[in-house]
Amino acid sequence: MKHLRIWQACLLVAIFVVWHLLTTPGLVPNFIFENDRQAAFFFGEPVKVFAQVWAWFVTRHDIYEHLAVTLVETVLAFAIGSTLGLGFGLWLALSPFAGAIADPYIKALNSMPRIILAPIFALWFGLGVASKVALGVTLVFFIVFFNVYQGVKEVSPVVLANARMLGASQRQLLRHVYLPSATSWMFSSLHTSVGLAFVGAVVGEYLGSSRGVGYLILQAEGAFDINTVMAGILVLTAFALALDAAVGRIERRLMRWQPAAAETEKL
Amino acid sequence: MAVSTSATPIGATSFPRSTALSLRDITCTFAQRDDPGQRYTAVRDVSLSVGAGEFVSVVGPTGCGKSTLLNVAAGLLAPSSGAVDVFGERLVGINRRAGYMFQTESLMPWRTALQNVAVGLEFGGSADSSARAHEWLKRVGLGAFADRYPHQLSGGMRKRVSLAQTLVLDPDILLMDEPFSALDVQTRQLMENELLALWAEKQKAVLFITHDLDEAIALSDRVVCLSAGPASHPIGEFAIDLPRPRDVAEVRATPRFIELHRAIWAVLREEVLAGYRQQLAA
Repeated sequence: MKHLRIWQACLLVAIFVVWHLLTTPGLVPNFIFENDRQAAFFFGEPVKVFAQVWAWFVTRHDIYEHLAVTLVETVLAFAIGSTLGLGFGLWLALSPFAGAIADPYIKALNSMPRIILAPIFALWFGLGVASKVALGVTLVFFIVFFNVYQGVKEVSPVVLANARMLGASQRQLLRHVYLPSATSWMFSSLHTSVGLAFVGAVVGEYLGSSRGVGYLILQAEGAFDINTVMAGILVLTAFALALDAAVGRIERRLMRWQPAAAETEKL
Repeated sequence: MAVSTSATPIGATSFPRSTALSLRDITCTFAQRDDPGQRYTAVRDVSLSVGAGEFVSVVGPTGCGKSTLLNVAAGLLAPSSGAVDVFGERLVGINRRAGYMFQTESLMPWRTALQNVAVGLEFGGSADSSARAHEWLKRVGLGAFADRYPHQLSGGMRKRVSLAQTLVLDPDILLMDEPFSALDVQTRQLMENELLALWAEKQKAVLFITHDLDEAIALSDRVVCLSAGPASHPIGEFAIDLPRPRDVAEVRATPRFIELHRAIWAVLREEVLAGYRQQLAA
């Protein structure tokens, strides 16, 4: 495991070195572009990208405000979307009549390209945080909904019958059988949905906002400042990874009961 | 050959037994969901009763509707016609006086062994559920495994947890659906002896489903044979007059056991072959 991390770090460094060699003007002879400044113009230069990141975080301290907005939007979209997905998933899976009525609508809403709703949400909720959260929620909701729905449908009929024989009421079945089974399915979807919440927030900002990392990237693009665009993408990627790791940590805590692939203890 | 068709088992005539569970003229017909015209009758006109404290086994070829009968007795499945009486009262909904041990995995994988044993007590709102569950876990020899999740236990241990989970609620009737069929022979004999010891202590009514005639004879007061499906029905009833307490491994070697086995097998063999032919034809 230790070696794995080292190799992963080496790969990262190698990528940046190759990027640097190929884009720095005058370092290697041109073989695609006529002018040796063009590579830097199209792909940015890693040194300048890191200088921008350094300036944002250390010297100018001006990214925190934008990052906070993006993270708040992401977390809100993730929390609201997951809760709604869990609630609706449980409800529609447990009440066959409501489920049958809603089925075609759920399918239609899911197959709709929901990114195009972003301008409409901007119209409804303004250019602030709410419209980005709304977009993120529409992305997260369906992922969680379908997983919870599946989770309830996949509850072992024997475990269910056993719980009923042990005297569980409908409420207790929901609390002690359906919910744990559904959450195990939900957790497998949380990695996808936290990423999508992030996408919702950034795309929303990109399409119309006055704050957030997506807004920073849009501004830089307008000025053909490829280094700042790349810096923004790097920062977003790093934070998406951090969010994913946080979800993984919560998952490991809550899903201790699930068998791991191999589980022998070294003595 | 001593073939008794009376409902009163030999050895129980000295004291009158009340009837714990009585299935009367049970018929279960299943309609296929995609084609309601296609019907399958699993059991037809089955009447069966279990006295309080009596151990009754039902044997029959595979697919003869043994589990269907048990689900009807548990109240998990409503019969197409017929009725179930529990201690003289008509059964509506789940049979609250019965505990059910399933053939397949029935533990909640998200609960530890202790939490699984305690779950029935929690459902009933018992205050000292954890302490009582721990007591039962120790009785089935798993006191040291309280914090293990089901996937961390062996198949035999999981069955013991299931047994404790059912018995901690102290049901008057035990319904058991081939509970030990997935276990290896040694573990199985240990579990069977444990079951007999617990049963002798508490004298519960047991309805035990199995396809294993040896197991049925070794454990029971009475063995009921079902015909091959579809529309299976009882074709013979045998009182098992082997002395108790029994050891399931040793009792198999006694002449009386062999005699009973031969008598019951003579009735069952044709049905097993019929069931096998049907499965081949399908």
